[in-house]
Amino acid sequence: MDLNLVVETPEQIGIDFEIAGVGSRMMAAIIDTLVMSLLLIIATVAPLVLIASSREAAETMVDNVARQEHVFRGVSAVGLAIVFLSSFAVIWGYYIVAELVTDGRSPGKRALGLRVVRVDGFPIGLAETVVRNLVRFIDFLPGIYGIGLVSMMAGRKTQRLGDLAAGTIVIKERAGQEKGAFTALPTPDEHPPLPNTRVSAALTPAEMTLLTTYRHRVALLSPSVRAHLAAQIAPILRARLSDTSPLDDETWLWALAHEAQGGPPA
Amino acid sequence: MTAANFAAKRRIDWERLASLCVEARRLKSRRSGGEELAELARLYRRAVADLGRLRTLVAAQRSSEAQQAMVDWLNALVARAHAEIYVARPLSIAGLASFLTRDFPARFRRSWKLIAFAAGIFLGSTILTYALCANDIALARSIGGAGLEHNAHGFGELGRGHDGASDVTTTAFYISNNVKVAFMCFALGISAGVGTLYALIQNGITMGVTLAFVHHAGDTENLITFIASHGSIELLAIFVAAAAGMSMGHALIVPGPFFRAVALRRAAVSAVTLVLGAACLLLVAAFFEGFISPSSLPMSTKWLIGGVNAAALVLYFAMAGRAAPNPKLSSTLGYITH
Repeated sequence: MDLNLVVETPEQIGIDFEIAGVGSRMMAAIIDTLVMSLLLIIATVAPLVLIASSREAAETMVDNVARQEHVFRGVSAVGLAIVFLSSFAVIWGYYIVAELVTDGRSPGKRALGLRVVRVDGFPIGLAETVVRNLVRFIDFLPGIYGIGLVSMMAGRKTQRLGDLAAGTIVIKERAGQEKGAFTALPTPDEHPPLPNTRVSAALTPAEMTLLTTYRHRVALLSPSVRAHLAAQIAPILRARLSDTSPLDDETWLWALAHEAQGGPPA
Repeated sequence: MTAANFAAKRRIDWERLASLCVEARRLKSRRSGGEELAELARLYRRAVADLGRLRTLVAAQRSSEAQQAMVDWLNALVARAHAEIYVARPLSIAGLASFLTRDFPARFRRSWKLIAFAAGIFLGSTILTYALCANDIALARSIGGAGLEHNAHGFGELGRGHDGASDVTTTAFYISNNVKVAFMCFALGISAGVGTLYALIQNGITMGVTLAFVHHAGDTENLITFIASHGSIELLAIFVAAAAGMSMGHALIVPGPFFRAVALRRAAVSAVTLVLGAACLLLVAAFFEGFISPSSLPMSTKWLIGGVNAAALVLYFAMAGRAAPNPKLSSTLGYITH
């Protein structure tokens, strides 16, 4: 599947989104279902363990099983209440909470690098996630997302009924869109005008270290600090390299750092 | 200027934007992050312009794979920053307060026709079934079956009251079961409303047959006493959830000036107010159904509580949220701007 959706930003520039295919959607659903089942088991077993930790209650429950009565008969009403409420909350609330707290990346989607967004590219809010995850129960019919699959394959944007109702799409996040660090900007092999120097030969190891450190730190600094730092470092190195290029300190230092690294300069 | 030159000139800002995006969540959660967030917004706007420029430059040249990778990278960066800047309004206590005191009752009044329609379908099925079955218990058995008859006798017993320890459990069961019914009534609306109608009629018939069984057993008074305190809240909540489902159906059948897809989306997203409101009502109803209805309180007290509840509902839906909006109470669901 290689479907693209172009979303117009309020700034009038289109951003491309790659729409996730049926296969990755199903994989994500399988993982989410596993996580949900695990939570469901915990939600059911935890109250049981809590109750059974009282010796008296445990004996009553064993008697109940022996007499083929309901396990909880005469035990703790609160325990059973917790089982009802927590399993209900897991079944109906898992996806809603998972999508809300992660900006549309439930664990299964995160594993596959997917994210739910609104069709206009905006992050989903409470209303969208409630709609798409309540209608999920219809999509699931008549079992393992039968209706949802038909809907996803019939439309152009791979939307199940819940997506259609909520106005959402599931997109593939490219490298860099994920929550982790961005990879470096890939650069083509063209050389912009650079300071006319042979960097590594001309600089001392200490100066090289200074350059490399600058290269690694610069993106984390605020503009004022960055400019201040560049104004301190650049004149020294310019003098060492007898540079006369008209570039401003920051740009010059940046290009220099790249050339010094030996990789293709920016 | 070549694409690479342009990228070399602008990349310091882009990489700064990238690092701010990575930190954005942390910045938003602390008070002192304002300056950096403002910087993020500023850099984002420039990056958006840069993306347009870079695309033009790459398109003008004999574009290589490497150049396309550069455009993709900036596109990804802009998308990520866009997601950090344009966010849905976060959930808050003020949002919940506004939802309960304003949005839900106001939305209820706007949707009163659909709610009344849902009530008519449900109660109509109930009354019709009851009228047919009340004096024809054989028909009741053929519709309801033995299981329902057994349950009905249980209901008849309930009204007599008891002092059980299982009220907490019962309440929890009613919450999970009834909210589930409400959610299904909404979700089924995606079938152009047919599924919701089916659910309403089916539940209406079940209630009619149950009443017939109870009547047959001579327990009617007990059952009505049992229902009195919570019935009005619970039934109204189901009607509200069904109205939410039917508003989806309505949008699909009569989309007005919109494409069906757009009409559906608008209807569904705004009907969430009704669905969540119905769930809140059911929480309240379950409390009464678990603690008051089956208790050994005297019949007159149960009736009094039922009357007070019904009056409170009428007052709430007639009056709440009519005052001029308070701008400080911005609702969680109020941002919808499709």
